[in-house]
Amino acid sequence: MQFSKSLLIKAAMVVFLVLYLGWIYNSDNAKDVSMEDISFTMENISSVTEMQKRGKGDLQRYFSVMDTDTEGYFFYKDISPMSVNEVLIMKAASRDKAVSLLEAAEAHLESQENVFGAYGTDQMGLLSEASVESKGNYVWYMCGPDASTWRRAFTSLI
Amino acid sequence: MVFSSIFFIFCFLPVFMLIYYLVPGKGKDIVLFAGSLVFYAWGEPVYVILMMFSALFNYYMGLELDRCPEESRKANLIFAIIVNTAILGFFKYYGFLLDTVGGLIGHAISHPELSLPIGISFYTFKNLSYIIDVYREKIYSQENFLTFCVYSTMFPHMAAGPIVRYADIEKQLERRPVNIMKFGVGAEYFIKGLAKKVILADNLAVIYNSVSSSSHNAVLTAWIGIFAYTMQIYFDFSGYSDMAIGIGRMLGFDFLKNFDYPYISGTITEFWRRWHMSLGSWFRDYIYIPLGGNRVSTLKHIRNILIVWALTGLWHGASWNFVLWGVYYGILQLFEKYFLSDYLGRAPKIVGNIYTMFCVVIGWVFFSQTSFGAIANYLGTMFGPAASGFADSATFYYFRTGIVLFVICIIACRPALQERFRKLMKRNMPAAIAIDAALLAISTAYMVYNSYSPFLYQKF
Repeated sequence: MQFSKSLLIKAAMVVFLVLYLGWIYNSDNAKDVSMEDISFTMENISSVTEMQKRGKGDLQRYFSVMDTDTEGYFFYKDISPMSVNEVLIMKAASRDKAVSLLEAAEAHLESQENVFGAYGTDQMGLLSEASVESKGNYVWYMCGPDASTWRRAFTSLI
Repeated sequence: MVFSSIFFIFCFLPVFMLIYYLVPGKGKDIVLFAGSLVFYAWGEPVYVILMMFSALFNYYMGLELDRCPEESRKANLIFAIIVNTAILGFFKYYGFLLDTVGGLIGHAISHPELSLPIGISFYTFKNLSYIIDVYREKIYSQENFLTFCVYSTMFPHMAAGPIVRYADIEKQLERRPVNIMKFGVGAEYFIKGLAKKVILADNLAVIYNSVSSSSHNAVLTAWIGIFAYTMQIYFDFSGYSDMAIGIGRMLGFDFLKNFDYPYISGTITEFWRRWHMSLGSWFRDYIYIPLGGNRVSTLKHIRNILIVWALTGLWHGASWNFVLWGVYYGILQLFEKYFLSDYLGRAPKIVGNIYTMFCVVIGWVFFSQTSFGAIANYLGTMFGPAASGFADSATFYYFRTGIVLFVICIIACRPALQERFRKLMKRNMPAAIAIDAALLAISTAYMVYNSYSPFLYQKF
């Protein structure tokens, strides 16, 4: 009886471990989606294309990220300097690189909060709800009234 | 959460310590366990479940080993080892294995990369040592789950060691007096470790990162770069260990030291008796000696050494450069044992130290460069063929900007400075405390100014 009880406990622990690792495996990872597919999906959202598409110069200027530090990126930013609306999705070559890209995105959010903290009530409201996250090798920064829509569209891809 | 952060030093640690000191008796265990969970969950809440599973599993298997019939003890031990190594393997070696198999069959196997839970190598080895020691009847299994959790999840040595064995702190887990003297000694250890990390290691990192990011360096630039890394990794890792030992002291624990001035060693064998001592003794007691140690034929001894050092390398990271680094040290120690020991024994200590440091510096090239191509390129630069010249303007820039730091590091990695401080502490305690306060103030200024800088060994 004692023997079967201990066997049952060990089996339960192994089953739990397998289920947990399976969950980690699925939740911590992202599908490998090309930047073309990401661009195609994101550019179908009108609130994204209302902003201006930005290149590697702006990526470095606003996020201190060299385009060579990524395996691809998608970057739209509002043309008005008073607007905080922007969407940036970066694909890193590895998890380590994704960590530093996420730090860059978080630093940009902090910098925006410092800029608008003193007077931009609306901007601060949007910044407080900005989505700065990573999944797998993808890192994103999304800020704007439609940030949750952008986030949903992107995360459903990966 | 890292030790060398403003939040940890000025928010988490004081609040935690205050509660820990105010709560009486066994209540301290609850505070320590809760504090460890908060510390770990701060960065990776999802992996708290893994850490707790590991604690629960090993707690149960310890009890099981003590109460199961003799004939099933070995099966239980093997089961516990398999589960522990499977967890470590899943997170750390799964991608490496698929990449290696893909390389062998000539077809890359795509796989998602999993992020490595912080401290997984350290707590897995700690729990394995507990299980094996219970099996060997060196210790009794811990019956109180809370006490075992305190051991298994204790935050001071959770993220980057030292690998504290249950047998070493068994009595302190039951009863550990805390007093102002212990607190003071612990605080001194902590500040010393913080200064090593923030003032020395982080500044050395700037030099090494700058040198290694360029693919065309002069010979002397490459040597300056790897010298900076040699000092960086020592002050980074021994700094963390000092901070962990210091917090342990403040909590009433006496952890064994993890570093004993390795850069004064006269041989590679001595170096490894002084560097990351808790890992070296773990491999000695749980792998090398069970394989037969040196009480076997020469061929088997060579096999044992190479296995242990390949595993030591692999423990540091799932990459072939770490295996190469480990095997390199295995070969050096075999060479010393069978050929060099007589010569080194007769030679002046300084000769042995120069030989050891030369080998160690070369070893850090294998460790710091993650691909064989990068290793060959860096070594090629150090020895000429791949260098852009012997020295150039960059060399003099790095030398000028780094020389003061290098001199401080050379002095600080030898015991004389610490011995002088100890004497000062006995003779003139206020002056010693003032030095500690100054180190804390300078370290704080660096932490405010610098960005997030995790410890190198945290990624292992």
